[in-house]
This record gives sequence, C-alpha cells and structure tokens, in this order.
Amino acid sequence: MSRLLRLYPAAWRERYEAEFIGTLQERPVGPTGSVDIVNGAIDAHLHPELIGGAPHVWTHRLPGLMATAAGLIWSWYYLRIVLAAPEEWGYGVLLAMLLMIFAVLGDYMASYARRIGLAVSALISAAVLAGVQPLSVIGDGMLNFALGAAAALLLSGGMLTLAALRAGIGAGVRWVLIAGGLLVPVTVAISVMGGFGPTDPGGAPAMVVAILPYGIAWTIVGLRMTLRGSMTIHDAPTTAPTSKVAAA
Amino acid sequence: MTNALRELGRFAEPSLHILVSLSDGPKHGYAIMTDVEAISGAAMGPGTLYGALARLEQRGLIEALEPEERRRPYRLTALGATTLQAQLLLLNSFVRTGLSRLEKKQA
Repeated sequence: MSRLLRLYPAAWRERYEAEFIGTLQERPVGPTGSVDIVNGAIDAHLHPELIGGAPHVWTHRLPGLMATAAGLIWSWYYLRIVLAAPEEWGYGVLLAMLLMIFAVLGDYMASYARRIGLAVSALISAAVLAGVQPLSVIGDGMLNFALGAAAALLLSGGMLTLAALRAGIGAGVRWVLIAGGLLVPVTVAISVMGGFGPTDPGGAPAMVVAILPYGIAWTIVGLRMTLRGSMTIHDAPTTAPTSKVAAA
Repeated sequence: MTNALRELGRFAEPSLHILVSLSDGPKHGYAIMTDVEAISGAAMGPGTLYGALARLEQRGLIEALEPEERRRPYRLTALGATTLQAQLLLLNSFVRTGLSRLEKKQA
C-alpha cells in the first residue's frame, strides 16, 4: 500500500512519507482507503503551496492539458478509423500534432515566462503546423513515403521524449513509453500487417495497432504534466518545511 | 463555519474533527484517525488526514512536534484553540436554535 505514496510529489514525501507509512503500518487500508490515498496524491500535486512550493496558476496546467487533449484526440481518431472506417484522412491528427507541439513548446516557454511564453509558443506552433501540413500530401513513390515515415517517427518520438522530460518522468518509464507507445507498435504493424494506409486492405487495423498506443502514451504523459504543472525559474519548489516546534 | 475553516473547502469538516481530537493534547496520525472515528462515527482515510493536517499546519492552527520514530505528534496552537472555540460556539448556537425551533413546532 505504501507504493501509492510514490504518487505524491517529492517535496510532500520528504515531509510526510515517514509518518504516513507509520500510520499505514498501524492501520492498513482497504480499497476505499487506497482511493483516498490517490485522491490525496492528486490534491498534493494541485496544492504544492501546502508544503512550501509556489501555488500553481492556471497557465501552468495549460501545457499538460494540451498534451492530454492531444493524446485523447489522437486515440479517438485512430479508433474511429476502425469503428467508422473513414475513407479520407481527417484533421484529427493535425489537431493532435498542433496540441503536442503547443504542449511541449508551451511548457518550455513557461520556464521563462508565463502568459507571454504561451502566446509566443502558440505562434510558433501555428508556424510549425503550417510547415508540417504539406507532409500529409507528400508526393508519390516509396522513397518519399519512407523518408516521410522516418521523419514522422523521429518527430513523434522526439516530441514524446521532450514531453516526458517536461513531465518529470524518470528515464526507465520514459523508455517504456517511447518503446511501448511508438517503436514496438510501429515495427510490429509494419512487419506483420504490411499495410499502412487507412484505405489499404488490412490497413485500418495496422494503423490502430501502430499508432493508437502513441495517443495513449501522450495521454499518460499529459496527465502527469498537468499534475506536475509547469515550473518557472522563479518559483521552483523550495525545500519542504521542517518540524517547527521542539518537543513539547 | 468560521472563515478559517470555511476556506479549507472539502477539508473543512475533517479539519474540524482533527482540531477537536487535538483539543485534549498532542496526537500522532494513527491516534487522530482512531479518535476521530470514535467521536464522529465516521472513518477518516489517511489521504484526507494528511491533506487536512498539511492545511492546518500551513495556516498555523496546529504544529508538528519532534517525531518519535515514525510517529510525528501534532498539537493545537493558540490560534487553533481560538479558531476551534469560535467554531464550536457557532455550532452550539446553531444546534440550540435548531432544537428550539423543532420543539416549538412539536409543541
């Protein structure tokens, strides 16, 4: 049960973990208690000021919310390929990509400024999207396709890695997300099923197998980023308060 | 509800229970949980307990004492005692008014 305490922020654990574990040892909790601990962890992330950190403002949550939305839109779009079998590419992927770019750039920019950084990153995202969009109508031929696919893979992996770094996800879990969300599914889908276009025979399942996990990975990273919030250079968490009073 | 407790939102009621529990002396987490369950009849989860303790400590209503192994006792501060007293007087007035009106209706 004490594993659930890993869900709490590091500063919070430094202050309360030892006594929390002591309490749990004296009074083990059931499923309801576990839910209560998870709720407490979410609350601790949302209120860092309780343990000496600076309170988050809504702009700090925005990049994480963008990343979460990107993951959900991406997942929904590729599920829709199977459920509704659309004949044409929609703008779901482009919207998701815009949100991913916005999330990562917004979070980086928030390290230096709040609203100004987010506004600038929105402009940069729009410009990048204008450049990315032509990739969706890349010219005929296997070479172009292979180059486009390789570029997309590098871009997708790079974006997810940057987002995971900003979310404060450790190296081990980060690699699991990159491998499980992108590299393994894409490799398996290409080698086993062969098709890669939504209108190819067998292509729709291949698309889902290959690309749906990427949306799930972004959703996970986005939720983590939302809970953590963007840190500015001026309000990085301070050390946790120590005991205030000597023994009674 | 006094302002100091009202601003705690969903932690207001657990916080009041904790303040009452600490009103007769310092207690650590497990003792508070047990005591709150005894006086209120409702169990308090550990996540709620430490969420409320953090808020009360931040507002200076309670203070942490030196830990004893993995137990850290908390005690009421002067501000916490004043806040608790004001809250209990408010509740007392509320209860008396409610009972009085109920008696008049039944009479």
